[in-house]
Amino acid sequence: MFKFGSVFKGLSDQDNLLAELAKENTMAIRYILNKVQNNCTQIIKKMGLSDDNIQDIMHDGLILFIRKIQEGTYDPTISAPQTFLTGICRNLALNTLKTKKNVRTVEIEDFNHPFANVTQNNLDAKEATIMVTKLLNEIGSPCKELISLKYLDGYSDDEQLALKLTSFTSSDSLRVSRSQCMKKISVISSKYKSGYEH
Amino acid sequence: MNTEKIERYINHEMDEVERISFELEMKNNPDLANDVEQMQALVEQLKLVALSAKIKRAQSLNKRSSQIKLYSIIGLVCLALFSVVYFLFTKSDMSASHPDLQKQIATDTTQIKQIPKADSISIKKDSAAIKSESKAKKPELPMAVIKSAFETQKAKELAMNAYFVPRELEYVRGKSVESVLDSARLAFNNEQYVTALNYLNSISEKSNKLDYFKAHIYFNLGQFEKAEKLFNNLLIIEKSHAKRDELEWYQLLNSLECGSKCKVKSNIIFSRIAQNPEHAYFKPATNLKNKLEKQ
Repeated sequence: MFKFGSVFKGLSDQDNLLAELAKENTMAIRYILNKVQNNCTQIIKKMGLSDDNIQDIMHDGLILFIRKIQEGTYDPTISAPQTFLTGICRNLALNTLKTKKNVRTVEIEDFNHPFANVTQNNLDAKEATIMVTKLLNEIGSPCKELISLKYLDGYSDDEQLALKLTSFTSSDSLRVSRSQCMKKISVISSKYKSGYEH
Repeated sequence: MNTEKIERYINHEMDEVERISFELEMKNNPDLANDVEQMQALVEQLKLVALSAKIKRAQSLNKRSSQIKLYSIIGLVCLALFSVVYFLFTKSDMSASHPDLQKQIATDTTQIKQIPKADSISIKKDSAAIKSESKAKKPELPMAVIKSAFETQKAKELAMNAYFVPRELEYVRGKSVESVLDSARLAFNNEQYVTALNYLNSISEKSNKLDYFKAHIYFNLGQFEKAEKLFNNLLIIEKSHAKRDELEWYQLLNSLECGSKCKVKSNIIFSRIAQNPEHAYFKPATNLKNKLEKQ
């Protein structure tokens, strides 16, 4: 049977866990999700939200939490990672309820949660995903692949060369080509942005 | 704009000197600062998408592993239930596939029950009878009680000493068990008389041979009345002199074992054999009579 303990060796140590989360390690992500899953699900379900909401809230909550760790604004001495993430999820769930305007049992003091400020960032991963996919499709090959390998798949330039993921033989030529692609995509992005603002 | 430089700056790939120089350039060049800001926003978006994809993947992996866990538990429970049902089914199937055996066991139990009534033995369940047989011990229970219950103990002892299993009922060691009759012989040989009787009862066809076998089984079970009845019937039918002599001899032994209530019968048989020196069992019968009279 699948046992998290055996797969995530060393992640029970808080410092290790935070370090791995900062690196966006998939195993660390799975570990923390597994740790908070039951609590978050209970809290969110109590609020009358659906299973889809649970997944979305935990997803967004974890992005916020990892960003906090990466920015260095999360203090593990104040609250443990699981507690902190559960708190974020709780606030996100309350926000979702508020948006849906089907608040029935939410009390005012619920919003005075210590993690309330964390969830105030205007983050929309769904929107970002749609936009990036659109941009990458528009820019086409080989820029799409070059940008995806670096920023979406997380391969370093040296890794890309070693694994022969691109046709480039030197990191300099790879970097130059990708920069040109980034320039192109930036132009398209600003075009969309200005169009949206108008 | 120098996008490569901007990208390296954003990705923290510049060394200290280069970074400070670039930041100074940004201060002096608002267009460059604007480009950096724009590129940073784009890179942030890309990184956000990457992280979102990772989290979604992790969520689906966790979901799958918890599903596997759940299915494993359900599977184990089903397996356990199936095992229980299978066990119960095979048990009931066994009983259903041998209804005759069950019936016969029940029949024989009642037969056995009759002995204790006469001999103050309490064999209450057929299972107990079968259990005692499975130990392959000599059924001392009816024999021992009979000995103590009747006055003609000596006669019974003598009869039992004179008794031998007819060759046709013997199971030859090492011989394969090919038929029900062979199985009955094997059981009889192992003194599992009830089992042997059940095997015989499972044979649908009637024959003298089977009745003869049954008579011996009843004799060994201490059900002398039944044995007597069968021996009598066989004597009426039997044409062969040798076989008739044999039947008379076993009838005599059965009457002696039966005790005081069969005394008249045993005396009749004794006198019948004594009057016929040609009788195959003349000598053994005379010896037996002498031994009994010596008491």
